[in-house]
Amino acid sequence: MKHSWYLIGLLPIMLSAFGPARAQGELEIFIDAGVENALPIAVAPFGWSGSPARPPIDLHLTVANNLARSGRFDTMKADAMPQRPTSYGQINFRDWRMLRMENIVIGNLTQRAPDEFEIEFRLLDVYKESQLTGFRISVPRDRLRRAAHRISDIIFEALTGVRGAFNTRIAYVTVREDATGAKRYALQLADADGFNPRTLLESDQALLSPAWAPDGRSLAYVSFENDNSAVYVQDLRSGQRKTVAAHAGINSAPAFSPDGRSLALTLSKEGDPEIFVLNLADGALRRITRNRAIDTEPAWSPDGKTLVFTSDRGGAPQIYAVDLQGGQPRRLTFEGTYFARPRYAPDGAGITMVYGERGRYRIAYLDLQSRTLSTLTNNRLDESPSFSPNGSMIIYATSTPGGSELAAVSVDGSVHQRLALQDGAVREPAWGPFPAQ
Amino acid sequence: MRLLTARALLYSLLLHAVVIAALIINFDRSHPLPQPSRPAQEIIEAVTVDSRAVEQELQRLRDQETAAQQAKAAELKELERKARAVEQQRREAERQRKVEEKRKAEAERKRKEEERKAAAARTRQEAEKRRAQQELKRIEEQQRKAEAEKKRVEAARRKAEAERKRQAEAERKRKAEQAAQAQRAKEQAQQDQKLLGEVVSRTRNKVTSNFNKTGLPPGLECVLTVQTVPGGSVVSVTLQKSSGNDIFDRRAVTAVEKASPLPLPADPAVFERLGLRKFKFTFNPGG
Repeated sequence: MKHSWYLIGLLPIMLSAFGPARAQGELEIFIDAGVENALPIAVAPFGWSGSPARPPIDLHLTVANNLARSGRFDTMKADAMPQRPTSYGQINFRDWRMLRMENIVIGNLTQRAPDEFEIEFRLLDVYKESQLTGFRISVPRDRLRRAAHRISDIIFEALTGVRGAFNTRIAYVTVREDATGAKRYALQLADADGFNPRTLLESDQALLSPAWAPDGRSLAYVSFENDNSAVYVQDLRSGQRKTVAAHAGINSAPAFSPDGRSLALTLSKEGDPEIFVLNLADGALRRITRNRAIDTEPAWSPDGKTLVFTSDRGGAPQIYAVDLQGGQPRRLTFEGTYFARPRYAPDGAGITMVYGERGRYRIAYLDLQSRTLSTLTNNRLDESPSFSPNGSMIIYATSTPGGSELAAVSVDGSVHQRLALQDGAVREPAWGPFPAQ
Repeated sequence: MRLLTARALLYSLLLHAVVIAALIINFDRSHPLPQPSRPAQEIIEAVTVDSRAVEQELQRLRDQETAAQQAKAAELKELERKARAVEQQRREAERQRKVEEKRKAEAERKRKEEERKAAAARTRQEAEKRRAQQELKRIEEQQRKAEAEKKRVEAARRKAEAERKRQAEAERKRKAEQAAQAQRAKEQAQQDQKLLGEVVSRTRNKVTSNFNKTGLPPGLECVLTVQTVPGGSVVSVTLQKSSGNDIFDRRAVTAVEKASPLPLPADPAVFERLGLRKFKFTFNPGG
């Protein structure tokens, strides 16, 4: 069955704030500043026409939660809304303007068959009383949630100019103790909001460091299933996997190059842990670091020319960068005594990492241009930060009394959210790439 | 007898003539020349007076004649001779009379000529006088007219002068009023300038606080034209120059819409003076 997205418009609405240039010589007021606020948006409950009294999904909640989690939006709760319109004609824009609301999302969910639905939604500018975008889509039951993420993406991009990353997935590792007290490791995949988890791999031995291929079709990870660490690459659709590094000593911290042809990783086959680049096509290894200290946790710059990694060559873990074309690694962090697990922002302008200070480990962001460091979280023990593909959010794991769980923070540090997941400890989240368009 | 009688009559007549002549001559001698103006009356009166004397004389002569006819017939010759003498005298008298008459006629002519001349002179004089009078009258009329004209001109001049003064006064007042107005306008303009500065500042603040630039790339600029009404309500917002980024443009438009009503004067007069019906916003928040 084909599920197409049809752009829909509001034909009667010809309102536009954009007209021809006018006369000159008038008073001119310069606005040379602004505020940085979350964008107000109201996602009204979607209309529902179907057999059960309640719809299979509260689309407006999924969308609103997505938008809120990004930190870019200030979503209005349904019970605070002056009305709950489901069509343009029902909207009393004046009332919404009184509440300073700028954007409204309205829509309808219709059941076409027992497992076939149609969603129609519109994003409206309250002040212009015009539609910014709108779509009608047919969706099977099991893709309703994904459709809600797509809707969120469309809204996000329409209002921020940045591609939405709600219709993406995250990979992470869970650790549970079974009835006998034995630990069970599982490699998991879930929607970016933590819903729809599915297990990719389970093991009695440790599973570590899931890493996404840039096309989103495979994951690299470390498994101790053969008593020693080895790096695997597994196809997500077929489940087939292959061992790409199983050398003596440590085989860890895989990271796909942006072109997907190489894997940076940490190997200690020559003694101390060093960074290597593995050519996935022919298995050729190229050693990048030569140092007696520990060099690990490599990450690629988006242009594929630079690797950043963690090294204690200076006496304490710090972040270094090395040019893959050659040259000496340069130290990037100086302020504290502990920096680890670097990851580039998708635009290459900065790096997120774990920043340890006085026994607390928090997520920080280093702006490579200004060299300013900002701390984004305020927890006791955070780890494994990972950027959303649009760079607007960072997902990470944070320790709790019961174990650890996934959390997300907006890049400006303003919005924090815990992702409700299953029991046990959740570790090493990795945010997947945009789906192929 | 009859002859005699005729002769006697002739003598009588002659005698009469002589007497009359004598009387006239006497009279002429005894009287000065008559006034040219009234000679006839004098003569007639003299004759009348003398007629009575002639009658008396004639009576006496008739008596004498009777007596003498017999007595003095002899004397006839003597008488004839005497008569001839008288005739001669008469002729002489006639001649003299004629001369006299001629003289008189001449005199008369002269007198008449004189009179005519005098009359002509008078007439001339009178005409002259009339002309003079007419001339005088004309001159007087002229003078009167000139006077009237002068008066008229003078009145006009005075009127013009008054008008000029009135206008000068009006002009002076107008200029004074103008100056006062200019002064008021200047003060007003200064006040307006100050007010406009405040209005612009408050408007900028309000729009800035509604301009959400979160997540927008730096270095963008757009220009909006807004139309407002007194009190600051925004009637329309149009994009005059796009930043090239739709979202930036829309956020700018929303900032103005959300800031409505802008903190503009509610007084329509002040509002219009400050030119706030239509103005521009340039959004350029920099980096």
